[in-house]
Amino acid sequence: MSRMEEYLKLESELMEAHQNLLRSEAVLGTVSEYLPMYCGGKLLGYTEVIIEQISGFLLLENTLEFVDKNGKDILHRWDFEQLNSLLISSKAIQIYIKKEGLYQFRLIKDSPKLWEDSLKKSVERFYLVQGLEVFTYQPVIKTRKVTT
Amino acid sequence: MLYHFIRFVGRIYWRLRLEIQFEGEASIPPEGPFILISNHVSNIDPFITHVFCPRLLFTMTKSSAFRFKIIRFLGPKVGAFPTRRFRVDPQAVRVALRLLGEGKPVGVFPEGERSWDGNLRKFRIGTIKFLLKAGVPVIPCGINGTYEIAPRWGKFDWLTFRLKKERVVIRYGEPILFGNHGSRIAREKALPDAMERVVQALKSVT
Repeated sequence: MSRMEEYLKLESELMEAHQNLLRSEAVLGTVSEYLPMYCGGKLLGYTEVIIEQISGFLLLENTLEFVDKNGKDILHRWDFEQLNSLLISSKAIQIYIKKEGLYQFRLIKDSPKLWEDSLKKSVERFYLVQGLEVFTYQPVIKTRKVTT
Repeated sequence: MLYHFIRFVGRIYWRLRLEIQFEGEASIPPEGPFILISNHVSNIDPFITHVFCPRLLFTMTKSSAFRFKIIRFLGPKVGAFPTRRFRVDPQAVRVALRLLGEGKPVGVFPEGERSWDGNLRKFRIGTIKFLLKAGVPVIPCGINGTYEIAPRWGKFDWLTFRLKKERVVIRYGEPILFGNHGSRIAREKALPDAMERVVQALKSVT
């Protein structure tokens, strides 16, 4: 069985076993501004100011979704190919969406490490189906053709 | 001035808190630019490298660390400059190259984040390209013992002082010289070999 077939089999088994691969309570935050930082009058760089906006649930399925607290309204939905970067920042998971920007999900109970690992696996599976493998996640997700 | 004062206070604090040993300090050049690359196993690593490095160090720091006003105020004054980890941040590279151009040492954690298990993580490709572009001596620095004190998954008790202090060993390795790689093509070509050399150098000091 090839690596791709193994992944797909695992994914279908997981999808059958659970309605969602992962579901966690989280607070969504977005960047309100990038603050320039100076030292001795020279620009050192920029730091993001993240404002927390709304509580809800982060769901990992065939896509990544953020739904409201009642679980009815989908506030955001992203395909994995839209993800430009993903990383942990303290107790939050951060994703950078192409043409949109940075979203931060501060997890109330669950581990950001679990989310990072699960999201990475989902992204890997998504690209593997297309014959691509992810070779780096930061600063941006980069893929290359799978070599046999 | 403030940087010197904070280093002085920091040294007293860490000496009271930990038993710190140094090896290979002769590898640090007394003047001129260099890049200090360290393993990253604990959130106390940057404090220790900043306070005890024989030269005033300027370190690439994740931008989210500046979310607190006190860090935004003090960070730049003690040599921390931000890099946004969720995107390519050319400004951070420009600042690092500018500091090196002024003859100052720059600190980088090539793993890009703390290790979860104390072992070295995969190094960032962009960081290795930066080392090649800079063309200055690269000094590996192994921080040993901080994972046992404050792992990423644990908490560090800043106010607990014990009679039997925990031991930390800071080990500096021999400088690595990559030479001049001015063009992108040259850097791409030299990347695999440089990556291997940096990994081996850091392994040798951790």
